[in-house]
Amino acid sequence: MNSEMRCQDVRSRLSGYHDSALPPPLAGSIRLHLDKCPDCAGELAAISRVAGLVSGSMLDARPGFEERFARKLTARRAAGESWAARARLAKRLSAYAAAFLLAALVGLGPAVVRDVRDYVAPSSDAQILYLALIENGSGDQEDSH
Amino acid sequence: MSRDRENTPPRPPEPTASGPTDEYLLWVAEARTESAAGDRAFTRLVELYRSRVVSLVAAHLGDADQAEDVAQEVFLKARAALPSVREEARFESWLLRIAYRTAIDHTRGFWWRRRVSLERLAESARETALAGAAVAGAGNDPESTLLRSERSSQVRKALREVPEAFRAPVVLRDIAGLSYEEIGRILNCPLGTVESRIHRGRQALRRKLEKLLP
Repeated sequence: MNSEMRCQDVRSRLSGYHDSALPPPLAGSIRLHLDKCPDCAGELAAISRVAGLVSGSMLDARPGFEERFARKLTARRAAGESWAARARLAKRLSAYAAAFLLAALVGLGPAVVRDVRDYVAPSSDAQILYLALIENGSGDQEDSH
Repeated sequence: MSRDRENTPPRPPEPTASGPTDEYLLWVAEARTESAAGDRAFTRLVELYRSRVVSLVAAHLGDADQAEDVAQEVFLKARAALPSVREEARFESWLLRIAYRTAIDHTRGFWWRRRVSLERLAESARETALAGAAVAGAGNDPESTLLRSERSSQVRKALREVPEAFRAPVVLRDIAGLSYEEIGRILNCPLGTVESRIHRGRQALRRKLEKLLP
């Protein structure tokens, strides 16, 4: 099998070979092929140069990266804490509001009910009077017949 | 351990090819705690990984200045989420996954976030280089540093032109230094797909970078 690998098969696996990511038997076969095939060996060299260019394009941050990071971390935490404090305050205020509403309903409930009854009562009397008038009116009409 | 963390704490040892060292794991464990000591330990991890995170983000955004802001955001996210991380051994790939996703979110963001000025790219890369910040064996000679910086900016420009499906695994491999298994976990694809995408990505870059290749 070793000597029978075709150039096409070898070339498609050259990146894996370059990165030592192939199973040992396959890597061995490719190595044997490369020893005999200068074209494929040239391909491997080209891939190696490309990989070298990419890894050589590494950047480093400008000086003071860690200090800037530490400042941002502190600011982020302060912002997070202030947000959390606001959230706690909002929670407490809504609890107070709910308690106040409940107390208002319990404490003022009877007075409110009484007021409503007082308000509704005259209107009920008016309705009674209206009904009475209607009844009287219809009675008059019956009498006239 | 009798380490004096109040003064300048030592830099945690970088994970080796055989895996993270015990000391490194202790640093990550300490950084997980929500305390001043945790913040100090995390800051040292920032120092250890900033170059890879900035480079990974810059490879996706193309803009070195914006990449630094996004890298800060990556570390802030990581600091907030770190206490919930269970496996210290996977801290590196966990952090780089956050970096990758944050970078992708930015590339897919609003048009004004996505906009990349190539002039600004070259300018910012030049400034970064002149600030003496280029890594990977940069010499102290300003001219050679500038040359390297120009080449790096061309590589980043070429990377931006490669479709994301092929760019992402190349960046995760050649800049972040992750294994195919880790890349597969991050991109949610099988090893064979990772391998073929890396290969196609490199081939695409090779065509775009012909001038730079000897």
